[in-house]
Amino acid sequence: MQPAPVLEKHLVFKPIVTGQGDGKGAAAGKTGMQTVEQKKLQETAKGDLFYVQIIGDGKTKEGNNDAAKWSIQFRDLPEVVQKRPVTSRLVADIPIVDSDPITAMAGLGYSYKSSYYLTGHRFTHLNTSLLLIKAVMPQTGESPEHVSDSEDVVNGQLVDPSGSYLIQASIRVQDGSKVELMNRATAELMNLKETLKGVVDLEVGDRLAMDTRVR
Amino acid sequence: MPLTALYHVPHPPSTATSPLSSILNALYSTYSVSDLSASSSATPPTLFHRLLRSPSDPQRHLQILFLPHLSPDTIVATTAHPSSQPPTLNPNAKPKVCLRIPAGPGNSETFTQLVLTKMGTLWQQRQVLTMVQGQVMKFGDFVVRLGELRQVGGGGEHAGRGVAVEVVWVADEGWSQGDGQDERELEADGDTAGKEALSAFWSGLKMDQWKGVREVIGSDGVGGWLEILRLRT
Repeated sequence: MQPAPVLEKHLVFKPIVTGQGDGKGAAAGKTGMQTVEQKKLQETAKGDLFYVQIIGDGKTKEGNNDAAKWSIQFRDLPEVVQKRPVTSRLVADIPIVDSDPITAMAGLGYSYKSSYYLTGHRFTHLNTSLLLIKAVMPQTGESPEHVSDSEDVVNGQLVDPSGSYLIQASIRVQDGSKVELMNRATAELMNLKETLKGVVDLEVGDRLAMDTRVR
Repeated sequence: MPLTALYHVPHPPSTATSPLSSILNALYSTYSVSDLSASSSATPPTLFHRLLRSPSDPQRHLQILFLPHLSPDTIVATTAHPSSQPPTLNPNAKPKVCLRIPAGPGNSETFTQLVLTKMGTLWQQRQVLTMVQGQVMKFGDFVVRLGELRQVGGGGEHAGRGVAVEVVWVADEGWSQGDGQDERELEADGDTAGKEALSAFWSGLKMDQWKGVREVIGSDGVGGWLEILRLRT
């Protein structure tokens, strides 16, 4: 299959935490008005917080997108690598309709932090998606909601000044709890790794470098 | 411009029968409404609604609503973020739609699972409601949709949570003719007339035996539903 051009603007959002954590129940403590129900809620409100991204599809030279389409992108912390020779993690990509990304995420309790572009090509081989990309900084002063076209992005400042590309081979499995599906996907990725040996050596990514949790 | 009145008639725990039959009897006997449920032009109402609350102070609500007769997309709404208002608990803050997600297992259901499992520190589920026995009927300028609200899970498995009634008043064309200031005045007059017509319609049903009825009237039908479905704090 012919490679498809990729141009994505990634907006990074961080959860806004108020009145909990170190100051858990601070406001209620001051007034002594905290109900049993509130305490119960706060007790259960323990767990990791994650960065979430909004992705805008941009106009590419070959593509013909009229306007940016936005989607929410979630990537979980990769599972601990045991016997499986690949990285596996929960992923979710959810399209949003006619919504301003900053307002949408503010409503969910997230604040905008930064943005970057990914530009390159996506190759498809059997079930595998092979993404060959570079990360580019947006132009100075560019508003988060604006998605530039590919010519502007290509001339932008690279996040990695060496100009090297990032390559990611991945397969989406509908249900990660189905061992047979996971094994088939793993085998396909390992076959691709063998095929590409000598051209590019695919290795398992650093789990902590792919950690999306808020520290 | 159509105006919408929404009512929540609670189901008192001490009463065995739902208010639904009482409201239906009143509609048929008072107004001789025509049932449109079998008609292809009007869809009987159904809904799926989740109410979540932030555990932190000041508390906020997140609502995820699928209401196909008003929107093909799943609606996500929150009360304003504390950073944008004085940080005081305001359970009456009006919900605002912040995003819309195409309905379907790969979209809105994935979003819901994401909120429940990966944003659990920010949002705690409080109530899940669905609607059963939805019906739609017409009387003159009024279109009425109603159905029984049922709670899903949370120990109140399929417990009745009362009846939601939507009455839409479609303005007579005379209210929207004209231009400039005249048009605005006519619209304002139309709003007033609409509100009066809707209030009179509900009063005519004589639902006084049901206590704790809540009413929301306005031009934003979705906003009204979001307010009326917030049965818990």
